[in-house]
Amino acid sequence: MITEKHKSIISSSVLVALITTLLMNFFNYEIPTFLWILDGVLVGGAFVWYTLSQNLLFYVLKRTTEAFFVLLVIATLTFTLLRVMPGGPFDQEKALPPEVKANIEAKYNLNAPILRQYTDYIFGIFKGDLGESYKYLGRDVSTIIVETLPVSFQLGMYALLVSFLIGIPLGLFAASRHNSLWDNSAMFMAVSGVSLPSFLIAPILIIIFCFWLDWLPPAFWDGPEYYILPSLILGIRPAAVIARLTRASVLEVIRSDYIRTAKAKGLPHRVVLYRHVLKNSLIPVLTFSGPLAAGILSGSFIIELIFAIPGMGKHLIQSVTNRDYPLILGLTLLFSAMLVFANLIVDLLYSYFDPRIKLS
Amino acid sequence: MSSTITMAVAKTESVEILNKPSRSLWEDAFIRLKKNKAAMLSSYFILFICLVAVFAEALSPYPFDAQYMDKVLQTPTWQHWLGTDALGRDLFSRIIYGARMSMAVAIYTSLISLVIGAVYGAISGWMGGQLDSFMMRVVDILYSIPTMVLLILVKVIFDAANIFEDPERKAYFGIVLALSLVGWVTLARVVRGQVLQVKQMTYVEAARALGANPFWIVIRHVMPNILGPIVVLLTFQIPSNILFESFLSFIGLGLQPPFSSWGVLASSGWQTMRSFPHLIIFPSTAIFITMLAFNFLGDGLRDALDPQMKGR
Repeated sequence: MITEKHKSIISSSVLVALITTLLMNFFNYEIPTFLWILDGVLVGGAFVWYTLSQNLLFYVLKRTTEAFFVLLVIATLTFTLLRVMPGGPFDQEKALPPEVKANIEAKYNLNAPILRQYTDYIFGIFKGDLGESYKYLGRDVSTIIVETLPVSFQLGMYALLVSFLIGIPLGLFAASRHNSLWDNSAMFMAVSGVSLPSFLIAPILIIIFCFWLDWLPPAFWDGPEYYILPSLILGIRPAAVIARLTRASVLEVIRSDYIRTAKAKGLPHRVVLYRHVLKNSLIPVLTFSGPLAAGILSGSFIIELIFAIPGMGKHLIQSVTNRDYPLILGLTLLFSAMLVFANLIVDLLYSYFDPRIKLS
Repeated sequence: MSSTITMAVAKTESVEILNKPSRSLWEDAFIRLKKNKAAMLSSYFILFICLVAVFAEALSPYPFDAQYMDKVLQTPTWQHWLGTDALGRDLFSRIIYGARMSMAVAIYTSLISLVIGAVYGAISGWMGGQLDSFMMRVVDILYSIPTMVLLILVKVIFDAANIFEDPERKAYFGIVLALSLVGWVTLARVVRGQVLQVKQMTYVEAARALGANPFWIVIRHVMPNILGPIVVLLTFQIPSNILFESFLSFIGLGLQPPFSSWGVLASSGWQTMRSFPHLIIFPSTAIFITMLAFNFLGDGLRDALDPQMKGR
């Protein structure tokens, strides 16, 4: 039987390990192998233990199969649409000689019957082979992803951390001073944050911090000082959304009976706020964080473009202008898979932190 | 003695309340909205932007694509209020024309996605059963593709389809289509949820019992009762469409110069950011203020239409 004590031990150890890794990564320390293993064992262990102890194995399997079929449908749809469209990526203004064209088509398996191409593609996915890029000659889509995903992932994680670190305290602060001037100005800030396009805030911050004060570099991705601005700018919008969510949820929790009981017991305001209110009001924030994580990862390309960060965003944009179909397909699948699995993990976390929720 | 007085007072009070003229839900909401200063200010501002967009020709001091090669890359002066760009075009005029393009794209796409989403959601929610679960599966699958990726994908496929010869119309329709095809999914979900709720109501049952045509019931009884949440959602869709349009134009997949939309302006301003920051600051500030106004109006409408949600 899981008690609250077990849960807090497990969650805090997982959190400590992950945050240590993230911080070491941020300050460009070489992360020792044992820490990676520890992370893996802790996260994996917690996952397996929770799944088994709550009889969720069937549920996880069901969700995974569902996710698998959803991804299969997405792969099929995008594949068909991109193949059916007239005008291939090799149609240039100057027509290629037929022999050259035949050779190219043979290389990319474009001369096979369409059904054969499709089955080849789908079976390729299982082997981790997403095809060869049309534009970057001789480079596999999987290689491109393996090279660029870590950078985008890093950026996304920092941005996620920033958005939690700004959003949750701001929301809590606003709610604890409900309907005061502080509350109104905090919420004004949050609405502004939601309305702020990154290409407005980015130039302003770059001009201030990079050109006037000369504190931070305006581009590239080489060390801690390079990470600060992009992560901050990418995190602002989600931080604003989280602040609003947290405030709403705190205001609702504050009205509930168990908070009145806690207050009636004579607990200090602080204890009530942090131990009872905050813990219960973070659940809606948690539900939001699944789509948020996937959104940050797939929406970082503007920031990557602005700061010349060598992540996946650049490839996503270029694959479109280059009509590099294998790359578009691969990236679509990857981003969708991230969204689907982020949602699964969030659902599990959701039932973990709120035992009233029954997954089935 | 005192109790009779309080009773009398209570009586007169209740009489007063009863004598007030009855107000519909929408009148009630409008009165509440009027008390919200931020929302009212925002709605005036949105009205102003719309008027600017409609009368762009009359309001802009210069044509949006006129190049004054002797006045390239000027900072704000009395002649060119917001300066000029790298081709000597007046930035103030381009922002005014940009308002027309950005607002048109945002409003059209929101309306198109509203129509698709409402019809889809209403059919799914009303019919229920197998059809409903199939239709919602489709929505779930579309939901599993991150918005930006789906947007880019639709844009790629539309561009490859080559429906329009004219590159201007191609860019314009491409972006409207991509944004509407992405936007309807959220609306369909919300409309379905609302229809499912309203379907249980006794007035719908009564209409059914009287033998009304299902189509008529949905139009006459269901839709007016779910209008509130839809209007609120629509108000939030417009700013996000403004943002998506400018994102796409910024990365070079949306509209292109000499066309002027706020995203196009920000994108070209970006290239000269270091020396001429005004070229990116002004257009993106226009986006920011407009989005701010729509968000405040959306919040105000939500509070006004659903007072229980106030302060959330």
